[in-house]
Amino acid sequence: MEMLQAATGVRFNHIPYNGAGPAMNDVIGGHIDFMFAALSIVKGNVKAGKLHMIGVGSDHRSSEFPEVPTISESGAPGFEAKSWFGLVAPAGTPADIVKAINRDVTKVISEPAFREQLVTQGLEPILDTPEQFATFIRSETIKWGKVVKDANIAVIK
Amino acid sequence: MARVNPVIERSLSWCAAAAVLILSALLSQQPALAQYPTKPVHIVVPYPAGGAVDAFARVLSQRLSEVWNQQVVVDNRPGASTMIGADQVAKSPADGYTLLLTAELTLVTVPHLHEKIPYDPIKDFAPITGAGRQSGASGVEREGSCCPRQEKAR
Repeated sequence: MEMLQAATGVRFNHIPYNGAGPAMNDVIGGHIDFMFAALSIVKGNVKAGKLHMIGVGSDHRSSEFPEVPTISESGAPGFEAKSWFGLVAPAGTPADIVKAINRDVTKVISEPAFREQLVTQGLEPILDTPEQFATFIRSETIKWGKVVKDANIAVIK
Repeated sequence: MARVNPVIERSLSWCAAAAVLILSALLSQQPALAQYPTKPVHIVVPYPAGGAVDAFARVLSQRLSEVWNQQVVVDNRPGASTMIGADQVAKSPADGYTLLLTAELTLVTVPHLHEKIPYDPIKDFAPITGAGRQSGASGVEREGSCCPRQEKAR
């Protein structure tokens, strides 16, 4: 949200909610104007015609909603906000075990049946090496650190 | 056939038994990659059951348990914006038997938004792999609420 404000210069009034579910109900009810949410949360109501999807925050269109533009192509060039998740172990886990888990998890994720299950949940699989994932986490940390700093977001004490 | 002195025979078998013991002790000391995992693996999900990460964890753990021929248990440890589950894994033995499946909230967002958190998102974890992403956070509004649309979202 702060990133979109920075990219567009438009100011929004941020309404914090205790979870995406209640927020979505209030968007449908017309109490708030719009929200950001993970695709998996909103897609049912989008398909049911209760919500209109303005744009997707990834750098490319969603394979499930190819007609919906990205926010980047809708006038906020460079905007990218994606929700992702991954697997980590406690620091100090032997490198050969990390490699073995990486090998087996990526093998499972790349199985066609598994991929299909992910896609129906609105998820795209990621296949990383441990090094790629570490680099990605660091770059995301830098990116969002800048957003928090530039937007002057109050830190919770 | 030459008969071995029963005393020698007995001590020989003791030697053999001792050798087996030493060998197995040596083998079990190695973190022996070929053997991983030799006991149930726990995947901590710092969210309640039912969300996207949890759903992924359940499908993944089922397939991994087949691949590894070991139990792979999903432990839901929600609370404090994922900090409770993350902290538990950060302080677990670094032996590959406790893993954390979590989203950017734990590793990127929470550390920026909280002055004090119980774990270090970079130093306390060994990244294994990214697993999935949502096709972008999406902006949605009530259908028909605003402006004329050139492209309808359906």
